[in-house]
Amino acid sequence: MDSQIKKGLIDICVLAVLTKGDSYGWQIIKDLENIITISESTLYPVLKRLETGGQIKSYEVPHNGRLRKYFKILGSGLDKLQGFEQDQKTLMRIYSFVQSATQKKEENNDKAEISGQSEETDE
Amino acid sequence: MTKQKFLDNLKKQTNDDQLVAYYDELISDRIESGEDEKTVMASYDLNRVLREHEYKAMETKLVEVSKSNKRWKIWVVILALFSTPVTIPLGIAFLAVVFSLAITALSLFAAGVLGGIALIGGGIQMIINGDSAAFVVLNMSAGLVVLGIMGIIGAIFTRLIIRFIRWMCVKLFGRTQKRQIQEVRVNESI
Repeated sequence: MDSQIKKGLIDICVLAVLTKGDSYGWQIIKDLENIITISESTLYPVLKRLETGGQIKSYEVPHNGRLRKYFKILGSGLDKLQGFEQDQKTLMRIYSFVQSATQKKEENNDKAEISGQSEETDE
Repeated sequence: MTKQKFLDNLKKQTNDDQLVAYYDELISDRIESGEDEKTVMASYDLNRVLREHEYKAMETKLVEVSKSNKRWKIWVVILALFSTPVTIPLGIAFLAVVFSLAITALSLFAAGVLGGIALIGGGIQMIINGDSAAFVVLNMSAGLVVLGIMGIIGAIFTRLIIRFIRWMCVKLFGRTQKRQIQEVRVNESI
């Protein structure tokens, strides 16, 4: 996936994961691995940014003799997700537009191939 | 490299406790989930991790710079608002000085050059007529021409002042634009 598009979607994906319940770094990566590939170094600034922006908050829970940092989605984070639902319509419009453009290009290529083949047969 | 050595090196290189705690937790979670420690540690290349986080840190720094710029802008607006009782009369006085300079220059030019030319004509006429006051008139006309030249110099000076004001405005406005561009770049890079 293009990194520029990915950048815009990672925050949303992380917030979406947290709507299912509070989670921690490794679990977030695992939950998203079938949706979008995030490296650990990518997730770290995303979590930091979301926390600084007041969209999530962190708290530590003792686990197996160590502390595990959990993240919880806040109201502002939920608002951002709702905002994305509005963006979804625009994204779908762009997707349909690009898809139709790609299909047209393929059809034109097929037509050109067919006409080329028929010319060869005539000769 | 063992987990502890990796974390120690990371701490030495970054001095970022939060980052070290983040990797400590990730590595522990991976090992707890059943992955072999050696395999887990083999997936962490310290240099790569540092490179990736340096890049992210640079982005964060830029965001901080843009935030401080925003704060700076707010302060400028507040100061500008509070200084209006002084700056508005000063600005009006400054504009009045510039305007009067321009008018003076124009009037000096008109009076000097046009009056001077007219008087020179008159003086020549008086010499022809043998009038003794002709030289007085010619001297006066020469004085008026000098005044006219001074008017031209004044006009040039006024133009320079206007250029200076424009240069100041461009400098101030240009700086704001540069900051805006920087902010846009930062936002794009996140």
